[in-house]
Amino acid sequence: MTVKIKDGQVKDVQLRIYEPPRFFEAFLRGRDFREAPDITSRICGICPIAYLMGACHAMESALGVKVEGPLRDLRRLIYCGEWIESHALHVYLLHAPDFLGYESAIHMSKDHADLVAQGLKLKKVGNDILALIGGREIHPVNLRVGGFYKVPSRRDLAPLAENLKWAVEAAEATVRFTGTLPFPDFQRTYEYVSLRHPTEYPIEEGRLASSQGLDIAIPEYERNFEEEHVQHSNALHSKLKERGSYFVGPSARYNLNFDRLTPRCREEAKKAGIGATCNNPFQSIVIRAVETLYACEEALRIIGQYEMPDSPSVPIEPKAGTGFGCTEAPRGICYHRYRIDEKGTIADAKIVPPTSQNQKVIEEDLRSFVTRHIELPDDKLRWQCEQAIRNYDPCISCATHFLTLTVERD
Amino acid sequence: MENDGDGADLLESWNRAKPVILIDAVKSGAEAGTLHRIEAHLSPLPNPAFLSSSHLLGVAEAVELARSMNRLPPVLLVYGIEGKNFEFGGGLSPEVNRSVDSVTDRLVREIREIPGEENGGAPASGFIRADADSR
Repeated sequence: MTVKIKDGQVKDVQLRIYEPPRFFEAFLRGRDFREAPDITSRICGICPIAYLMGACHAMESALGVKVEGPLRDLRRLIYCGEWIESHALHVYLLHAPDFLGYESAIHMSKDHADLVAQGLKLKKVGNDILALIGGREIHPVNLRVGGFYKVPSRRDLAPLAENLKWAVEAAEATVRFTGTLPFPDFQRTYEYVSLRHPTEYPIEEGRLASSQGLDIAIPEYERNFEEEHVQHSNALHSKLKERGSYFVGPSARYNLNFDRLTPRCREEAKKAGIGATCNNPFQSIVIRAVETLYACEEALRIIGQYEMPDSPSVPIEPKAGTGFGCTEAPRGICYHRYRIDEKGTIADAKIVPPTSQNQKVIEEDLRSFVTRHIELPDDKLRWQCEQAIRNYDPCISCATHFLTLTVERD
Repeated sequence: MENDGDGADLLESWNRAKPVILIDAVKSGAEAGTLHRIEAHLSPLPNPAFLSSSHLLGVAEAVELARSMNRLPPVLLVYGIEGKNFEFGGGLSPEVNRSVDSVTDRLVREIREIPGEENGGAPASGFIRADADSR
C-alpha cells in the first residue's frame, strides 16, 4: 500500500494486490458445462460453496432447469455450513485479536484459550456440514449441476442437528462477546449491494439490491456493474457504472435485510449495540457473529423439516444458451456468467469474486482512515490499516503483517 | 486419518489422541526428498518450512496454537518430506516418491514402538531417529 502525503494532506492511497492473476475464465473455455462447478471451486479454499453454487445456478439458468424443494434446501444447508466455518474463523482467529490488542490468534490464545477453543469448535460445526453433505470440507465433491451425486437421509443429518444446538448457543455468545469489543469511531456513507429475497435472509437466491435503490434481476448485473483494470493493482476494480464504488458482504446483507433475520438475531444484534443499520466497518465483526447465529438457526430449521428427495438431482440436457448465477459468499456477492454451445461446451465465462468488488471501497476506507490518523508513526499506521482491511475479510488478510506500507511524505 | 489441509481442524481431530504422527510436505530449502523428523511436543516447528494458505491455518501455526492452548497431544511427531515442485498439476517427483516409501517403512516401525496409554505416552528410549538429511 502506498500513501502519498503532501503538506499534511493525503493525496493518494493505492492498494496493490500482488496475487498472481487467475486465468480461470480463460481455461474454462472448451470445458464441458458440468465441469464448471468443480473447476471454479478451486478459486477459493475457504468459500468453495460460493463458486460451486454460482456455477451450478448459472448453468441451470442457461439450461432452463430449476432445482427446488429438498434439493434446494440441501444447497441452502451446505451454504449455511460455509458461512459458519468462514465467519467463525474470521471472528475468532483473524479479527478478534486486533480489537483485544494481540498480534495474532496464537498470542491471543495464551490469555483466552477458552475463547479460541469456542471459535475452533464453531468452525468445525460448519466444516462438518460441508463434509457430510459435500463429501469433504475443502473443495466438496458432491455438488453438481442439477443437484447432488448423493443425498443424505434424515438419520444422516441427525448428528449435525445435535452439534448445531450447541452451535446456536455458542454463536449467541459470540455476538455478545463481539458487542463488548472497543470499536474505533469511524463511519462513512456506503452504497451497499446484496441479494434481496422476498422472505429469506439472502444466501443463495434473490434479486440484486442496493441502499441507493438498485433492484435488478441477476442477468442485469453486467448492465449495471463493470470491472476496470487499474494500473497499480493486479486485481480488477469493480464499480457501479453510474456511481462508482460499492460495498458487498455481511455489512451489506445486514443493512439491506435486517428485517429478514430471525427475531433472536435481531434481538442479539441490538443487545450487541448495532441497530437495524450499521455504517462502521469495524463493527462488521458483530455482523459476522449475527450471521453465524442466523446460519446455525437456519441450518437447524432446514434439518428439522428435511425429507430425503427421491432423486439426488434433476435431469439436465445440454443446449446452447447463456446463464447467470449470483450467490452470497461469506464475503459478499459472487457473480458467474457462462455461454455454452449446443453440446454444453463452455464458450465464454465471467466470474466476479466478492473481494475484488470491494477493492475500491477498501481503498476509499483506507484513504479516509489514513487522513484521520496521518500523524501516527508508520509502523502504527500500518498496523491500523491492516485492521481496517481485515474489516472486509479479504483473502489476503490472514498473515499477521501482510501489508507493506510505504508512506511518501513531502 | 487424512486432513484436508486446514490446520484448525487438527486441534479438534487429535482431541482425544495420545501419540500423534503427522506427515506433511515441507519447503525448507533442503534437497528434494529429505526427511525431517521433529518432536513437536518438545520444540516448535519451523514456520516458513510448512506451507500455509491465505485463509487456513498451516500445520506449524496449528501446532503453535495448540501449544499455547495446552492442547498438544503428549507425543506429536511431525514428519516432513521436502518437496521439489509445488506447481499445480503433476504428481510426486521421483525423489519425493522414494522418500515416501522410505518413511512409510520407518513409520510402521516407529508406531510399533510407541508405548501404550499406561505409560502416559512418553517416548520409548528405543525410538528410531531419522537424521535430518536421510531419506
